[in-house]
Amino acid sequence: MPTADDRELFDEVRELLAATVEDVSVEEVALDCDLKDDLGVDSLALLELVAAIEDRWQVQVPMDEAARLSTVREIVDHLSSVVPAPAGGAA
Amino acid sequence: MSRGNRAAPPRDGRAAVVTGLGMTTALGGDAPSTWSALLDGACGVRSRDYGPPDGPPQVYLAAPAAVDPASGLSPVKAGHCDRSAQFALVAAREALRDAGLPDDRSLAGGASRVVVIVGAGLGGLLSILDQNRRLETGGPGRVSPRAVPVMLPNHAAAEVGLMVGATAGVHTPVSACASGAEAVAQALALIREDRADVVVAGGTEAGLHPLVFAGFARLRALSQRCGEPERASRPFDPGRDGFVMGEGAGMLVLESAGHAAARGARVHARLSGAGISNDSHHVAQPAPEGAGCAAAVTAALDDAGLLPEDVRHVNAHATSTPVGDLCEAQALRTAFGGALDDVAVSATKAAFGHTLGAAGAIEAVTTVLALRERTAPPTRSLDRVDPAIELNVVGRVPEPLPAGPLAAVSTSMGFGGHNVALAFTAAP
Repeated sequence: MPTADDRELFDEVRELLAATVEDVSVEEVALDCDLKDDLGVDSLALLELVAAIEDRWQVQVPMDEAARLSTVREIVDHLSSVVPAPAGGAA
Repeated sequence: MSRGNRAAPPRDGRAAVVTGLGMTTALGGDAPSTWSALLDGACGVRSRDYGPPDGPPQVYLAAPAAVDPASGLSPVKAGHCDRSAQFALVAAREALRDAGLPDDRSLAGGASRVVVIVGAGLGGLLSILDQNRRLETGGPGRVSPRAVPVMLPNHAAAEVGLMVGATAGVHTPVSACASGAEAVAQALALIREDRADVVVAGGTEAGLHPLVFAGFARLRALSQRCGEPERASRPFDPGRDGFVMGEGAGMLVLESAGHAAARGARVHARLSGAGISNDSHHVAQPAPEGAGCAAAVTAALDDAGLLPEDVRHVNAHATSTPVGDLCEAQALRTAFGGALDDVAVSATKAAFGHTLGAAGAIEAVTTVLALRERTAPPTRSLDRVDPAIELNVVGRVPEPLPAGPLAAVSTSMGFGGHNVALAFTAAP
């Protein structure tokens, strides 16, 4: 089960995906969605998503790491490992 | 398309017919609303502050779009597009629906060869400026991965091409304020050469920005009548003092006559001929007495197999600059001779401003509507015709055009000496 922080990250990633990828709604984005096959994230959309993630969380996502992200869960897991937990958070 | 040589008349099956129209302008978000407002004498010109929120006011005259093009697209698609591409997508979709054709990739999914040609003036200028602002304020990491595709002049054409799956070709003529007309001329050539069955052709522009206003103002090309926007764009009037910049897009669906007939399409008008010339005189001034423009008009008539007396309506480029309007009037006299006295000349930039790269296409759509409705639209701000201009300019009231065979010409000129004339004939 995702932690409460992971749940928050997931919700924000869903919002970013819906704002970045054509014809994808927040409701369609599930943790196990494949970015390419299920959501139609092409290489340009992935770059845009990475740029939005870098902007939102002020983190750097190197290209080799970005290229390895193929599911929504992998994005959330990656963020969970690089984004500092909020002060007083459960993690 | 003719470049001055008399062309053989086209074989009928490969004549180009106009089956779909779309436009979004300062008068309306589509062709019917624009046309209706034009006939009503509505004015799209406003005086607005275009300065940054935290800076001193920069008040300019402009004819901003009546409908935000982003409102017609999904938020994600709108966010992926420069405003110029948003206009192009909205107008192309309208034109395709008007033609009774699908406005998605199923258009090219059948046997038809589909081509998209969208002329651009400034291209993705607003996006260039926006991305540069991000770079300067936040560094390279703030620049979007989409920055380059949306900056390019072919961005709007590429987006329309993607929308319909135009695998037979996507093109972007860039000839300043003649770009939209050149797109239509290129469409005619492709259809005649049997290289396309359906062409979505037009032009788009979104450049209402202080940088562009300032640049044109430094050229002394803009009207200074900020206090009376309704009287600012006044083509052919002795009081004209420059143009008013507009924005928007115009699109036509053109088909070979055979393709249109095979699917039982309604034909708005026939695109009978096109003429292209270049002044090769000056980067921003027309040739003396409009010689280049006259050559383009003559070439278009030759190409269409029309005599001057066949033409009863001209939608003039007429931007409302003192020199440009005079040269165009002289050019029309050269091309039409005495027959010009029976030609109803409309200058529609009085209503929706000068839309630069979109102008030729918006005015092509307007010319087709004039033929179809047999009505020459008004030049809404005309008090009287400049005595130096020997034209029968349609004033504040629309003028009926005669019944029977009827032809009309739309002229376009652009910085760089570009001249394009399009000749349309009424559908039988």
